[in-house]
Amino acid sequence: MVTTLAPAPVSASTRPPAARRRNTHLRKRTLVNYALVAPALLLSIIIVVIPGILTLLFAFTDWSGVGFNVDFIGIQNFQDILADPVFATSLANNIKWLVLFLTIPVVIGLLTAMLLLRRKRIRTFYQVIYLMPYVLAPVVNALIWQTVIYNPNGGVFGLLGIQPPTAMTATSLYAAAAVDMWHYWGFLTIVYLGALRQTPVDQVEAAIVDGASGWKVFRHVYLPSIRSTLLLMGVMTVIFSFLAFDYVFLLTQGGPAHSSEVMGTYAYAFAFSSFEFGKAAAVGIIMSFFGLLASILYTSISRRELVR
Amino acid sequence: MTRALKGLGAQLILAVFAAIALIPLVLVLINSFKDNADVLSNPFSLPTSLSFDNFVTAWTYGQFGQGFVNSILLTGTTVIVVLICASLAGYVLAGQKVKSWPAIMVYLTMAMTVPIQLFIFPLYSAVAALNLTDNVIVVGVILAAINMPFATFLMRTFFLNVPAEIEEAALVDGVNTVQLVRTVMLPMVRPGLITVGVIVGLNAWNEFLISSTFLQNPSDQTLTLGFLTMNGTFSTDIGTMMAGALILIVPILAVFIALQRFVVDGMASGAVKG
Amino acid sequence: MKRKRLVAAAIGIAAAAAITLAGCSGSGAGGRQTLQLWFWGAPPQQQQTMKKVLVDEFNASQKKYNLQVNFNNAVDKNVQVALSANKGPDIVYGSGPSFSAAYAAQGKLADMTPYAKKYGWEDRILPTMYQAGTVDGKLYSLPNSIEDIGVFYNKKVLDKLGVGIPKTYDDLVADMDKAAAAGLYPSVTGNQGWKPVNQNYISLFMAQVAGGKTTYDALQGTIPWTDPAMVKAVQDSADFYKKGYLGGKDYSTLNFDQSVQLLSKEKSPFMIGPSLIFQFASNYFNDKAGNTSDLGYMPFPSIEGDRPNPYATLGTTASLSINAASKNKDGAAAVIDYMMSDKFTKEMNKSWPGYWAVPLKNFDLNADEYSGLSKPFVTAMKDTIAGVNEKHYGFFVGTFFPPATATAFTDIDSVWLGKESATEFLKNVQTTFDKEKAKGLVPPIPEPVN
Repeated sequence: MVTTLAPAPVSASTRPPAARRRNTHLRKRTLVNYALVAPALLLSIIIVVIPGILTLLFAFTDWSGVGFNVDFIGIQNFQDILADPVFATSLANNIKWLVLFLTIPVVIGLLTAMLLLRRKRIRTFYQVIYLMPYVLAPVVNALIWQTVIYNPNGGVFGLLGIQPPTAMTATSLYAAAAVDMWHYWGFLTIVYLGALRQTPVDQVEAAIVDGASGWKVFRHVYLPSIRSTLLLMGVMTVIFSFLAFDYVFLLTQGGPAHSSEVMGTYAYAFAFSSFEFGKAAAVGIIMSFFGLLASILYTSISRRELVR
Repeated sequence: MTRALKGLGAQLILAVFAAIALIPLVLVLINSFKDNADVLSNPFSLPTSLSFDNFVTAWTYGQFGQGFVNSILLTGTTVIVVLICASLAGYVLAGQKVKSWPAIMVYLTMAMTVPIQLFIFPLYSAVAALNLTDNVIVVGVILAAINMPFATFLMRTFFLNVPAEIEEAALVDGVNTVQLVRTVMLPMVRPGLITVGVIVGLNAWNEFLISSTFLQNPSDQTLTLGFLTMNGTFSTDIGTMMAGALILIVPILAVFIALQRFVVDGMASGAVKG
Repeated sequence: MKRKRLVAAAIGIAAAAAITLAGCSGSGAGGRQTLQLWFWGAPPQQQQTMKKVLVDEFNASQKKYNLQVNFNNAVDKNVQVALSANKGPDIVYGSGPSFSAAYAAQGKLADMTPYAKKYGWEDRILPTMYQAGTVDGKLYSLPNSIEDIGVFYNKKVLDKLGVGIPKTYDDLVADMDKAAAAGLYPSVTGNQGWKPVNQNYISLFMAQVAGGKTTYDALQGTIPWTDPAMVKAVQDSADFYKKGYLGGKDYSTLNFDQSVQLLSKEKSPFMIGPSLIFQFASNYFNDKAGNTSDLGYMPFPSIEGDRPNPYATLGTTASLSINAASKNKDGAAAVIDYMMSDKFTKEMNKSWPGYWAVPLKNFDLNADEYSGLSKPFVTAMKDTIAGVNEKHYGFFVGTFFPPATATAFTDIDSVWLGKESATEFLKNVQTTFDKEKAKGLVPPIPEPVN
């Protein structure tokens, strides 16, 4: 996309100077461009990558998180963690979280987006309402649900006389996930709606003329058209599922009896309760690993899409 | 006949989901005016009188006055830093103007997979060594770095939507890169800037883990942290908790509704191209 | 002529500046050094009490320092992160000797032995509690208050149920069954928002069923944690929980504050828990509600017949240390000395019962001088200290166990909920404990008699 000055008339005598002019101009352009990208990169690297690398190193030590008494212990942290049944529970919970978030909010998002597609007049109204939970802080959302919904004394569950799901091992994870899903699906509605509106209208009309039912139109026209969006949102969901922390931490702290533990809360407990930061770092590495897998997958799939 | 039914069905579904989104917020609203005993007996009952006692308690105890100021400073810093860096980087990446652009994209994607709660120790040590703890601006910069990849991706998408002809025309006119960006490209992605600004601003305003670690002094705490502090003490005073929550919710919703056009349109188009 | 005057003026200004700067060295009003103490997020009234009794009194008593207290719910995390970077408050508030031992091992806390000599702490404080704060003979932390685990009861509810105050463990259980039959909670308590609450109950059962001496032996490594006595203690605690005697079904959704509220609303006759619950009690049992005299407290009745009754589960609510990186260690020591004084404990207990039973050898607080809830609290603490002096006590996990082991014990709810057997649980504890013992993280603890 780099354009240059109007090409100089090519003749044996004048070429070298023109070429030299173009080269320096190009180089200056590239320098400037690097300078434009630099601030974002530098900031990110200094604040995220360098501590990240340090954490990576700590994962192979027995650092307590205090002081500088550090001993290199190789992969022992990883061995201990992989042998810990609580880790298996956390990983399983992250995967459950992933499955939940790749299905329920997506379905709700697509459904509401499709319904709003043709209804221009009420569209803004509904979009604003659906986005409200999304713009509120996790702290606010979690505490609202905990205080006035999940509370056995004074909350909705208390009123109905049902034991709140946060209290039972079988449902604690879902209780936390429910609040995060409530907070999140509105965002998907907006995104999918935006993507659906980009579907070429003539394709849709052609399909209808051919007599396709609503469902068939959706499946064969709309869905393929928003593929790239679905993919991007899917990958973001995968990455964030492995990083899940806020809602579990605020609502159940991973309990009762580790039933809602996710890798994020598992790592946090190592760092701040038992003075075993090496282990916390090791868990962090594992969390990033899964996220990385997902993002590599995404980059390769989207590259293929670009080529297509 | 079926068409009308379908229409009705659709409206019903939309309304049900709207209710799901709103009911918890409505509960906050009505219970913030109620005395705690009333809340305990029935959280769904309407308040009998509009007493502002809960709000006063929440405001004083959560130190919301100072919290507001700190939140604004923090969010402002984050948004400004992110908008400047991410828009410039987004421009470069959209145009593939540096050879290593795929590597940069990969780096940014990877940077998003990082669990922040584990970087607190090394980061804190460095910041403390420089004597920069309890500094809202510093936390703003940290949050900017954390939000940078996502913001850069979004800005890149907006720049991708700018027709190439505009840039080429400007270049033919002989402007240099800086002028090009400043006078031509940025104005074209103004809606994108607002969208990214709002999304990143929201993230910064609502953040609690990093803020709570780097801002220990009560006078440096943000609004969100002040509310979190209330939780331990007022867990049994539901009315006051709800009042505190409402104080936090109202400004966010107000800003959101005012700028909703940008947020909605921006989220939609930004995420589409990927 | 002009030049001389200029030079003189310059010198004068420089001198004035130097003097002002010297006077203002260190922040703080009026040339005082600032001392910082970080504390957890106590409710407003209690913050007021602390300001009045601790901050104002201390500041008025001397001219060198200005004490400042920061209240923050995330204080544990904040202190840890700050100490790790050699920053943080001058006076370090921690959860107990074992946490301090971890920090001391890393050189983050100052050796307070010279101050102990200067102020005579060793003579003033209960030897058992004093020793717990030492590492290799050097003092690193002092316990701010002694604590025990007992039973709070609501007299009105007991009257309604037609029972008196339970005298034995069997009475207690029978009364709880009666309450359950009447549709009340057998007892109220819970760990919502703070999992370490679990530690209270496993400590209680270890003390009562296995005994303090057995716990002591396990902590010294002389017997394994999988000793049958320990297994029984763990199993008994699980049975107790399963019968609903700990908050019924709502253990994981209630916290102490809500539990006391429920107790005051007569939804249960009992609340089993640490004596620090007194500090939440004044919110709900007070003169305004007219029910101050309804609340009573009794030490937990012995479960095993051959243990003396009452048998304390000894703990401390918090520990106080000096930051090794503090620039004002002398000042910090002065504050701690004040917090370990007769005067301080007398004053604090007037308006903030539950948290400040300073473990003084001569805890001669006269219960009659106190009103409201402070009265039963003071009485209770005197009894506990008497028991300690006779060497009858068990150990509270959160105070005396090394950090990772304490965290391992927090997972006791896995056994309560049937996810793990008592033996498996204790095996895990053993593994974690062995590592910490090897690193020297077990604080020196006082040996009980049985």
